[in-house]
Amino acid sequence: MTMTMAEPIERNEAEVTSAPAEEMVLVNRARRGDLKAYDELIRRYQERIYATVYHMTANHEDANDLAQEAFIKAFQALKSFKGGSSFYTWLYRIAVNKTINFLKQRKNRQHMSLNDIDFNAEHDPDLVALISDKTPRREAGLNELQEKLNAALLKLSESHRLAVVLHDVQGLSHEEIANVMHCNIGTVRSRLFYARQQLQALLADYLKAT
Amino acid sequence: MSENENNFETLRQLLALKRHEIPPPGYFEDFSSSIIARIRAGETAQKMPWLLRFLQILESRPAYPAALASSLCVLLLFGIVSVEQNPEFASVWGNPSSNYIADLNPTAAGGNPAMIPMVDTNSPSDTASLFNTQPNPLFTKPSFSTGN
Repeated sequence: MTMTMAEPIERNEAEVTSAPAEEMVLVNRARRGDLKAYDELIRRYQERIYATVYHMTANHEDANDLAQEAFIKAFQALKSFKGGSSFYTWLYRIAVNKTINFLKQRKNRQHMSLNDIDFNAEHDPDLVALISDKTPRREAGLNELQEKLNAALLKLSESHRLAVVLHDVQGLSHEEIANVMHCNIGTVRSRLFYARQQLQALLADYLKAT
Repeated sequence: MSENENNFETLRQLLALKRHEIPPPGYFEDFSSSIIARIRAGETAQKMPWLLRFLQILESRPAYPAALASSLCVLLLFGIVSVEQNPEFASVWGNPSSNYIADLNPTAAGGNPAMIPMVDTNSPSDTASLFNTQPNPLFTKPSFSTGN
């Protein structure tokens, strides 16, 4: 199965929002204990939930555990889901809260366990443009760039990292991020700005223009 | 500002790399089934009798049974020490020459069964003393003589 996380989020969002009624049917069935319906919901969101947790932790094993626990907790808490927000936003919030709590607990023992980069990366226009320049990043392979990027992300605070991950990696809108992070859009924008500034400082060697 | 924006653009390009980090092949094929299995296991565990759940907790956390065993050992040790130090306990349980022990255990009386007072179970008075009751005045010892 070839799968990439580079799938545009906008397309998935459109798919999800085109059938909110169908999703509510699945949610209601799952609420009554129908595990087949919940299985369908997991399959819809597993990649995005896993990816968010993975980009926050930079550790595959932790991401696996946390993503699974988030889905289990969501199932147990389904009765409290009022439908005020979309199931997707509600699920995201559970996963994000779980991840932030986990990161706060293991503050001083961060260990990276990075996933491999898929072969499509070499053909990604953004990365092609980035690596073809005559800069230090040209000499550094993709794997070194990946390691430096993840190390820099881990140096950000959880809320700043989350803003970057949700917006610049996952492609969520400011409004969606505000819903997930329980804050207003202005706060999201300001976190995003400061997070990018910090990343620029941390990755200065790799972001230098020719 | 434009330099900043240019740097943000380069940063955005670099962040694109994150989207190409993928878990091992086939990872998502079993993802939902393992979650469903964990949910089912949780539901089954809730329906189990409390004793089985307790045993499962002990099994999953070896520290608990270890702590339980250690506290039992400490309790036992404490019991032995207090028996040895307390003369009242010692007279009953600790001293083999105690009459009580000797009454029950022939070997405690120097290994000589003759030293143990014999009880005639055919005598009403002896039986009465055995059960700590008064002799029944209505009770008469049966006689098997023919009357010749």
